[in-house]
Amino acid sequence: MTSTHLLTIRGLQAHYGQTHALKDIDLDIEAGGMFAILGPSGSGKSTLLRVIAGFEQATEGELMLDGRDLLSVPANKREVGLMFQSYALFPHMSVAKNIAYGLEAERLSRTEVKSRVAEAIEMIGLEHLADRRPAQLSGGQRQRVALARSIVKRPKLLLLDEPLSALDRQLRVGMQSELKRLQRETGMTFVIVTHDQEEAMSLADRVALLRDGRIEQLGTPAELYERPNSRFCAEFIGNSTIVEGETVSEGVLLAGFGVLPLGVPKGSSIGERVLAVIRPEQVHLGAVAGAHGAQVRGTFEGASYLGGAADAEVQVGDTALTVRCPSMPHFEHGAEVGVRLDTADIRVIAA
Amino acid sequence: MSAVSAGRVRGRILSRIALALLYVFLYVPIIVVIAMSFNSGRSVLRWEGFSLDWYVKAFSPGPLMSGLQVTLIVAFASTAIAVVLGTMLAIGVYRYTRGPLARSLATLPAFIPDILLGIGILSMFGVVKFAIGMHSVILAHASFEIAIVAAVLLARLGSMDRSLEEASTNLGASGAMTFLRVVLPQLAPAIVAGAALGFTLSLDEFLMAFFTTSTNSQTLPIQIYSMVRFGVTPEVNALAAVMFVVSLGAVLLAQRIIMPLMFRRKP
Amino acid sequence: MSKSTRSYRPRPARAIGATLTLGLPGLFLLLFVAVPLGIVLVSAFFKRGRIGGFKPEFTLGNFAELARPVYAQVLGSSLLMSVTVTLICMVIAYAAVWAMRTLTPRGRIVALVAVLIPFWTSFLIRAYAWMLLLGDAGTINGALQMFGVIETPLRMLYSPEAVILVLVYLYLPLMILPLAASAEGLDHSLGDAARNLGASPWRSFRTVDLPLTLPGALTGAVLVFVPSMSNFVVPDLIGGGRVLLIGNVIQDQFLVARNWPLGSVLALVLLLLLVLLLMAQSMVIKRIQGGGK
Repeated sequence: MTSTHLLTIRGLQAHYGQTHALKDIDLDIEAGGMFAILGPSGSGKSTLLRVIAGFEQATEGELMLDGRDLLSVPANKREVGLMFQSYALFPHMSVAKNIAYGLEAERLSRTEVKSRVAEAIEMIGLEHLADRRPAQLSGGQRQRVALARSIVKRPKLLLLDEPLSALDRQLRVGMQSELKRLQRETGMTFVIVTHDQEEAMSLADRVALLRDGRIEQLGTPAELYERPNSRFCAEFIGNSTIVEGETVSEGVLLAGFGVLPLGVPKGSSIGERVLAVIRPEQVHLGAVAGAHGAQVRGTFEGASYLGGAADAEVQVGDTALTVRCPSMPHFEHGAEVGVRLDTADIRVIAA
Repeated sequence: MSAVSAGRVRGRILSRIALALLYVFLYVPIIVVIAMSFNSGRSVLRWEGFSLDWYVKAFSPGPLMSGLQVTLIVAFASTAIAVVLGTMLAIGVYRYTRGPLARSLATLPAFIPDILLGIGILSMFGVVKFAIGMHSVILAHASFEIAIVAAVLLARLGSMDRSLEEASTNLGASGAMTFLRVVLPQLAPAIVAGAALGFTLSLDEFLMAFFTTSTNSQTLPIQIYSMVRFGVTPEVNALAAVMFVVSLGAVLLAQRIIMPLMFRRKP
Repeated sequence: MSKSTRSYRPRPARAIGATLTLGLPGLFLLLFVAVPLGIVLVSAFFKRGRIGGFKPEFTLGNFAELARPVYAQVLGSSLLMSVTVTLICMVIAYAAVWAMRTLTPRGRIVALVAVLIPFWTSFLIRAYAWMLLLGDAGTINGALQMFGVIETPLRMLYSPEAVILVLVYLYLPLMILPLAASAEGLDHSLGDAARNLGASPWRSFRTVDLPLTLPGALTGAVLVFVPSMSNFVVPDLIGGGRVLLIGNVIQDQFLVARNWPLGSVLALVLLLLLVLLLMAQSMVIKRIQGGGK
C-alpha cells in the first residue's frame, strides 16, 4: 500500500512568522500522473510547496519521498524539482547554460552534461534558441526553459508553482497539453500548486483543496466539482448558486423554491439546516410539461453571452440563480420565466 | 531539529557577529574622538578629568570659527544656486531632450573627480587672471551640486506617473497650471532631498575648496586639516563631537526623505 | 518618455521652453565645468609657466615626465594601493550586505542608515580619529600596554598599511550602499532555484548572486577607487608624508612645485582610470543582460 506512494506526508505542521501556516497535513501522492494542490492565497499551499522543496522548515511531522525522510535533507540534495512561478531563470546565462546548471552542480562529466542538455532542449523544441538569454525569449519559451531545467535533472517529483498563471489565454491551452505530454514522456510525478481552480481541474488527476492550512477535500476533479463536501469547496470550485434550506420528509425545503426531491447528506435527520449547491448546468430555462425534475417560477434579470452558451440570471424568491442556456435567451427584463431543476444531480451539504 | 535549521541558525549567528564587527569598526574611532573631547588634558591616553574647556576653546573666535563661518556661507550660497539651476536642468532634460546623452551630461559633474574640477577652476581663474577666494569656492561647489540636485530630480521624474500630467491636461489645465499644481508638488520632496544632499556634501568638500580658495577665506575642513597636520588637537575633538551629533540628527531627519527615494518600491 | 504627450506642443513653444529651462544651467556648466576641464586638457600639452600657469607652446614633454622613475613609481604604488583599498572594501561590503540579508526589510534600512551616519561626519575628522587610535601614544597602544600585551608601543601610524586601513574606513560606505541597492533588487527565487537545482550555498553565491550584483559592486569600485587615488589628506596625516598617492603629486605640482601642466597630466591619468573603470562596468552590465532589453 505505502510502497506505491511516492510522497507521504504525515502530521505536517509549519509556522510562517506568527501564523500557523500548515496544520496537521496528511497527504499521499502516488508515483506518476499529475497532482494538484489547490487553495486560495493564505491557505498554506505556498508554504507546503516550500516545505517540500526545502526552503521552509516544518515544525513537526513527517515528509517521505520514496521511503526517504526529506526533512533532514538540505534543499540542494532533495531530488525534488521546482518550476518557479516567476520561472527564476538566471538572466546572465544562456538557455543552454541555464539547463546545464543543475547538472553541473551534480558534477557530471562535460560530455554527459552536453548530451543531456541537448536532449532536453530538443524535448522542448527550442534548439534554435539555445544561445539566447532569458530576456530575449517570450513568456511561453521561458516557461519551457524553466521546465527543461528542472526535468533534465530527472527529479523524482516536480513541483510546479502556478504553471499557467503568467501566460495569456491563448498560450495556456497550448502549455496545458505540453505539460501533459512532458509528464507522459518522462513518467515523472508532477505536483501543481495553484490558486486557480481551472488550472488544477484541467491538468490534474487528483486535487487536494487547501484551506487555512488544512486539507479541505481530496479527490478527482469530477468528485470535487460534483460532490463538494463543504460550502467552501462548492464556492471555490466552479460556479454555483448556494441556497439555504432545511430537510423535510419529502426532500429539502429551499427558501423560494418550495420542497424539492433532493438527496440529503448521509445521517441527517429531518429539520436540519442544509445548503443546496446548484450548478448552472443543472438548471434550465422554460417549463416543459411532464419533464424530469422540479420546476419553479422566477423573474428574468438578464443574461451574459459566453460564446456557444449563455448564463441567464433568474431571481427565484431571494435567490439570484444562474442558469446555463444553450443560446442567448431573449426575454424582457422582469419577464416571468419557468425554471427546471435536475434534482437528481443537485448536491445538498450540511450548513 | 534538522541539519538545515542548524545550518541556518549558524548562518544567522555568524551574520550578527559580522555586523557587530562592522559597526565596531565604523563607530569606535568616532566614539574615541568624542570621549577625548571631554578630557581635560591633552593626552589621548590618560584621562585627566572631565572638562568642557575644549568646547569653550573650539567655539571661541579663532581659525575654527572663521572656517565654520566660511563653510556655512559657501554651503548656503552654492546650494541656493544648485537648487535653482539643478531643478531647471532636470526639468529641461526630462521635457525637451530625448535619449540618454543629455541625462548623462547633466549628471556628469557629480562623477568627475573633485580634484580635477578643483584644479580646472583654479586654472581657469589663473587664465583669466581673476583672484580666487570665497566666490570661486562657491562656484566650484555649485558646479557639482547642480549635478546632484539634477540626478535626484531626474530619478524622481523618471518614476513619476506620466498619466497624472495627461489627466491634468485632459481636465483642461494649461501647461503652466499642470506644472505648478501637479508636477511641482510631486517634485518637492526630491528637491529637498537633493538640496540636503548637496548642502551636506558642500560642508564636507575638501579638495575643491583646497584648490580654489585663498588664504583669507579657508573653509572649516581646510582649517581642521592645517591644525591636525601637526598632531593631536583637542579643540578639534570638541568640534568633531558637536559635528557628529549635528550630522546624526540631520541623517535621522533626512532618512525620512532620502531613504524612501532610494529604496522606493512600487505600491 | 511618451511621444504623444510631446507632439501636441507646437515647435516654437518647445524651443522657448527648452531655452528657458536649459539655457542658464547649460551656460553655468559650460563656464564652470566644461571650460575648466578643457583648460586642464589643453594645458597638459603646454609648457609650464614660471610661477604656476602655463605658456601656450605645444609640447608632449609633460607626458614623457610620467616615465621618470619618481612619477612612474608614485603612479604604480598609488594604483596598487587604491586597488587594494577597493578590493578590501568589496570583500567587507559583500560580507556586510549578505549579513544584512538575514535581517527584516526594516532592519536592513536601519542597518544601512547606521552605515551612513559615520559617512556624513566630516571625512577629515574621521581620518583624524585614526591618528588618535593608531599613534604611538594612541588609544590602541595604550589599551594594549594597559593589559600587558605589549611593553613598547607598536609603530602603526605612518605606514602604508595604516593609509590603506583609513582609506577603507573612509570609503567603505560608498561600496556598501550601491551593493546593498543591487542586492535588494536581486530576485530571491534565483538563489532558491540554484539550490533546488542542487547547488551548494557557496556555488549558488558564486554562480548566481555574485555575477548579478557585480554591477553594484563596480559602481562601488568607481566611488571608492577614484577618491582613494586622488586623496592626499590621508597619506599626509596617516602616512606621515612617507606614503604618496597621485593626489599628493597633483597637489604638489599645483601649489608647491608650481608645474601646472604636469599636474594636469596626472589629473588626466586619474580621469583615464575612471573612464576605464566605467567602461569595464558597462561591459559587465552588458554581459549580464546579454543584449536583452
